[in-house]
Amino acid sequence: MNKTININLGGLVFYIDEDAYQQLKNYLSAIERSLSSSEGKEEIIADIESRIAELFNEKLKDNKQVINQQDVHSVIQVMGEPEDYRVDEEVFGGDEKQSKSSASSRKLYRDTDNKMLAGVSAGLGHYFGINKNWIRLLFLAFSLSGGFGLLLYAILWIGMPEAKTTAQKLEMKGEPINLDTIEKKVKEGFQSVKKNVEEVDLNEVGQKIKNEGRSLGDALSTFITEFFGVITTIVKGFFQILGKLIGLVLITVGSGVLIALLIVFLFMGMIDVHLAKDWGFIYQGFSDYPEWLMHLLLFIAVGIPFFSLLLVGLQMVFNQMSKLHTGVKVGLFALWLLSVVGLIGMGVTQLNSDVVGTQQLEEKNMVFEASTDTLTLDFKRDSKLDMLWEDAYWQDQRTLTPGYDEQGNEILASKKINLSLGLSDTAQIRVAVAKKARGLRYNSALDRARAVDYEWSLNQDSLVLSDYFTTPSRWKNKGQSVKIGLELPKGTLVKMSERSAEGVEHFWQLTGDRGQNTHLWVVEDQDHLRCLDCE
Amino acid sequence: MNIENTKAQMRKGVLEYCILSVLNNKDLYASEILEHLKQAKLLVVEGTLYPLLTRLKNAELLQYRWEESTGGPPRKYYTLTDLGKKFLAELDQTWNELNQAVQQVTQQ
Repeated sequence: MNKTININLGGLVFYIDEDAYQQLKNYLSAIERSLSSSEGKEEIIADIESRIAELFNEKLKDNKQVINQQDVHSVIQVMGEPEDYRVDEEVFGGDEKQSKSSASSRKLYRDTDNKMLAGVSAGLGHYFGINKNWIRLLFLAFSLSGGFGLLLYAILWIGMPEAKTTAQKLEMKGEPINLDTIEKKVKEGFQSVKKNVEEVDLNEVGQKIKNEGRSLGDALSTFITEFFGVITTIVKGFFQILGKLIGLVLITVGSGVLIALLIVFLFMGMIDVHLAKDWGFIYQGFSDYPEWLMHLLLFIAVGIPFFSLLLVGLQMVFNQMSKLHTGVKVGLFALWLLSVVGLIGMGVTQLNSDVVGTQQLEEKNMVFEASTDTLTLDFKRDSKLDMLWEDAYWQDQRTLTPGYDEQGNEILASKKINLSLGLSDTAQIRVAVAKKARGLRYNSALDRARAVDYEWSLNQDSLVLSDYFTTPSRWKNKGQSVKIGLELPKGTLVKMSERSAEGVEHFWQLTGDRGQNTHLWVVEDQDHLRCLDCE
Repeated sequence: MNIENTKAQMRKGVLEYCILSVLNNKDLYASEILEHLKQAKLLVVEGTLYPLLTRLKNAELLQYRWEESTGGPPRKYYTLTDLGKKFLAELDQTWNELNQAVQQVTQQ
C-alpha cells in the first residue's frame, strides 16, 4: 500500500506515489538549481513541468491512475539529468560559474557507479569536492599504518547509504560545503524569510490597510519579524557550522582513542604470547582472572563509549549517515554494561580476597653440640628458576609459572621468602617454617597457606633449605610467602658452599672474603656469620 | 580533451540554428520540435531544449501563443518573429559558408 499525493503539474492533476513525488520534487529542484543563472528560469521550469505533465499523461492510459517511481524515473531519462540543462548554458555563453547555483548542500552517499570497492571514496570525493583518488590514497595510507583506514572504511561502508535513485545521485553531486555556499545559504535564508514576511504582510497587513491605513506600528512589527527571522537564520547557520566542528572533534577523539586501544590490546596480547614462548613462563598479573579476559573487558568498556562518540561525530558531520539499528544500539549498550559489571565484579572479588591473613607453621628441633659439631647448610637454588628470574622485568613480583607438578597441574614459583637467624639459648637447633597466605575468610586463607609447598629438611648435621616455594597456580597473589626462622647456639660452626652463601647473603650479613670455595663460618650474632677460613 | 564533450558542443552549437529552421515552415509546440530534433539525433535528452527556447524567445527571435489541447496541458506554439526570420536567413548563409569551408578543409 502506498500513500498518494495530489499534484498540479502544468495545470493537470495527477495522483502520484509519495516516494515518486519526492523523487520528482528533488529532480525539479535540482534543475532549478542548475538553471539558477538563466534568465526566465521560472518560465523554463513551467515549460518543463508541462512537458512532464504531457509525458505523465501518456503513461496514464489503460486504466492506470497513479504515477509511480518507475514513471518518474523514465521521465527523467527522457528529459535528461540536470547537468544536461546546464551544459547548454556553458556552450551558449551563459553564466560560467555553474558552482554558483543555489541551494542545498551535497549529501553523503556511496557512489557505486565509480566504485573501486564499495564507492565510499568516490562518495566522499563528491561530498568534499575532491578527486576520489586522493581519498583512496588517504585510506590506503591509514590502512597501512595501523589498519585504522580499514576500520574507518568499514564503518563508513555501513553508515553511508548507496546512491540508488537519480535524485540521490543528484544530491550526492550537489554542492560542496565551503564558506561560499554557507554564505549563500544564509543569504537564501534571509531571502526566504523576507519573502515569507512579505506574504504575511500582504495578507494580514493588507487587510489592516483597508480598515485603518498602514500605521507606523505595523511597519515596525514587520521590521522586527523580518529582523528576527534573519537573526534566526544566521544563528542556525552558525550552529550548523559549529555542529560540524564539534562533529570533527568527536570523530578525532573517538577514532584516536579507538586506535590507541586497539594497538594496546593487540600488542599486549602479542607481548604475552611472545614471552610465554621464549621464556616459558607467563607473567602473573594481579588478577585471578586470565589477562586476556581483563584486556577484553577493558577494551569493550572503554571502547564502546568512544565508538559511539565517533558515530555521533560522523552523524554530525555527514547528516546523511544512516543511524545504527536500534537492536545494534541496545546490543552495544548491553555489552558495555556487561563488561563494566564484569570489571567491577573482578575488582571487588580481587579486593575481598585479601582480607584475612594466616599461616601454617612447621617446626623441627634438634640437639646439637655447638662447639664440636659442624652444621652443613645447603641453600638450594633451582638454576632454571634463577635464569627465569634474571630475565623477568618484574622481579619485585617474584611470582612466576615455571611449569607443572607431578600431577600435571600448573604451578607458581615464588621467591617471597624470608630467612632469619636468631641465637638459641639452649644447645639446640630450632627451625620454624611459617607458610603464609591471605584469603576472604580464615578457612580459605588457611587452605592457601597449606597449599604452599616449601621443601626443607633437618637431619643429623645438615639443614637443607630452598630459596623458593611453589603453590598451585589457581591462587595467584594471595599474599603467599614463607618465613623461615632459624635459631642456632652462638658459636655454631656452619659449612656452606659458595652457592649457598650467595643465597644466604640476601638475608644475613656475611663477613669475610669468601672467593669460590666452600668455607667454614661461625655464628657471631643475629643474622651475622663470620668466615673462619677465608683468605 | 573529452570526445563526448566535443561532440555535444558541436551538436549544441547548431541547435539554435536547427530550431529556427524547423519553425520556419510551421508553428510547432515543444514536443513537436523535440520530435524533429530527436529524429535527426541532434538531441539526446529533452531537457536541453527548454532553456534554449526561452533564450530565443527572450532574444525576440521567437514568440508563442497558447493553444488548448485535448486531454493534455495547454500547449505553447512557437513561431518565428520578423527578427527571427532575418536571423535565420543570416544563419542559413553562415551555415552554407561554414559547410563549404569545412568540406574544403577536411577533404584536402
